[in-house]
Amino acid sequence: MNRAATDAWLADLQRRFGEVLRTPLDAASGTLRAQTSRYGSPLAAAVQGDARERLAVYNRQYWFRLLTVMQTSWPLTARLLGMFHFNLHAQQYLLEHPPAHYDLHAVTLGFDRYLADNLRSEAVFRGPRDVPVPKAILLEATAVDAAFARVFHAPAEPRFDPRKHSPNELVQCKLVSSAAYARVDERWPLVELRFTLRDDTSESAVALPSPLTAAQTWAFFRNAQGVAHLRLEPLQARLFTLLDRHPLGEALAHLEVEAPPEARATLPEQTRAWIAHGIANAFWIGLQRV
Amino acid sequence: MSASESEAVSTPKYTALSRGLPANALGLGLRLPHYPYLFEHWPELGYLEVISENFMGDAEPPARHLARIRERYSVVMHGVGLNLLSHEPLSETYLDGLCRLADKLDAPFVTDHLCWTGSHGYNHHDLLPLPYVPQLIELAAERAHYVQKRLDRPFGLENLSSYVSFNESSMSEHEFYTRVVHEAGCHYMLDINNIYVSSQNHGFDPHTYLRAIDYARVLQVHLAGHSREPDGTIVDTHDRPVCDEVWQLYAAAWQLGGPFPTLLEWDASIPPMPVALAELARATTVRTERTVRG
Repeated sequence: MNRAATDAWLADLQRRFGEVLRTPLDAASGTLRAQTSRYGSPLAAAVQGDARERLAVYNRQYWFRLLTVMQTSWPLTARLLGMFHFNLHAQQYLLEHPPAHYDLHAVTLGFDRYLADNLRSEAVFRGPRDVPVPKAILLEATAVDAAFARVFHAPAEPRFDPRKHSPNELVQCKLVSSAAYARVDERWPLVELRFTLRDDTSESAVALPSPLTAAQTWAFFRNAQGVAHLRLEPLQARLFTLLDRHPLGEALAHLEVEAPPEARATLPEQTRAWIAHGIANAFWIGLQRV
Repeated sequence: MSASESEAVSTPKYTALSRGLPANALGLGLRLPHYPYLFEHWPELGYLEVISENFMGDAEPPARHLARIRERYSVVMHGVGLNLLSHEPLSETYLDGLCRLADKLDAPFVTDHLCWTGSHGYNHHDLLPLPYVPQLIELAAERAHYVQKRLDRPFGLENLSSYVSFNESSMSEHEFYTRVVHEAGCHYMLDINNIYVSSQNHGFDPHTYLRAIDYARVLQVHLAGHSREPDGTIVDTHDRPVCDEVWQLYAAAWQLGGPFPTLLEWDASIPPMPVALAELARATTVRTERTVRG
């Protein structure tokens, strides 16, 4: 066999094997089972012994590896749904977005958008009794998981050092956010739930939390232990939102106008403390001229 | 003084192949749950092995942790994504990242598997088998030779654990493996557990396999645990201690071609690090007993 013929033979074999691997597991029985009857006959005929059962080992390994990395990357989302229902959504997502990159984590990116796009016309069920879960909670959970993952996987960046800039520059420029810093808004207490679930290896759906009396914002950022989370004061969250859009001077002016009268007296001192905390925790990497 | 007793007290031999690793070094596959114990106790250990792909990305925390670890230990690299036997060409982007990491770590050697992991644009994230046929020897050897040259350091190929064998195979696994390594001018990353798993799944003699290996070209040996499916198929799960049969094969390999660096992999149901270290330490006992008996 010459090289071209070898390449064609290899391509054909690998295409057939890949199809076996991606054959979805069947959930009808309540557990995920390989559907060996769906494997292509030519490949099964090429394999010795009990071919379909042996190929099923690879088929199951493919799915369990991918579902495990999905569960690890979307832990809050998974526990709100319970693993069985989460796996059904994850399997459908992976059928439509199979892995292409050598970095296994890459396959998990985009599951939040997939759920947002696909849950609109679907009921979302969870737990052993197929109890519906409000889509809004689920999408908020994906936002929390996504923010955590973004911060964890961000590259190393230089820290912003205000001492390197003149006061004029500081006021007239926008702060550039670090990739290792993210904010999430929540209407249900999901951020703390995510962190309490960190050491919980159960697969069952967690109890749905009651909604908060008022929405709140969290900052995620990196520290020596990993990813830290900090609940922001409402005005602190507003300041950081304004800093995303405006130069520092303008952001401070907007905040002063928006702050309730009773907060204005202490606002300058608080603002300095919030910005100093952000600098100390590397929320920003530098300045951008506007 | 027996060979085993002298091993314990004399200065370890360093092989040219392993570039500074003691020839009888014991190493552990580095996994995330090990970090807290490692950073607190810095246990005595010959070397650590990382999964290359876990450290080839831009994420800062893994890079920071690895830099700390590298200050104390030699680190070798073991890949799962080279895709040596795909019908598609090797990824130069992947190789760029691999070379960068190897340079950064000054890795004594780099290893990956004699298998394919993806095709037609898909990455299956599994180590997949092929028929053992002569026409694949040339392809695998050419590519392995190229990878070793690109890395500019010893490159080793690991034998696969597999669950299927193909009607088209016209030679044994060990014949295919040894010919690829020989023609590529690369090295063996000999996984003893994989030999056992495949020998049970496909019915060949693991000792014949071990006798076919040129131990002068062995970079290191892997040990691991495995599990058995209800139908009897053995799956390479790396989720438990090494079984007695694999220890016996290890002792046989040591007698045939030791010393060589030996590494324990434990990837699922990972125990506290002292448990893994105690399991690894059994390697010294097993080969000592065998040498004394032998």
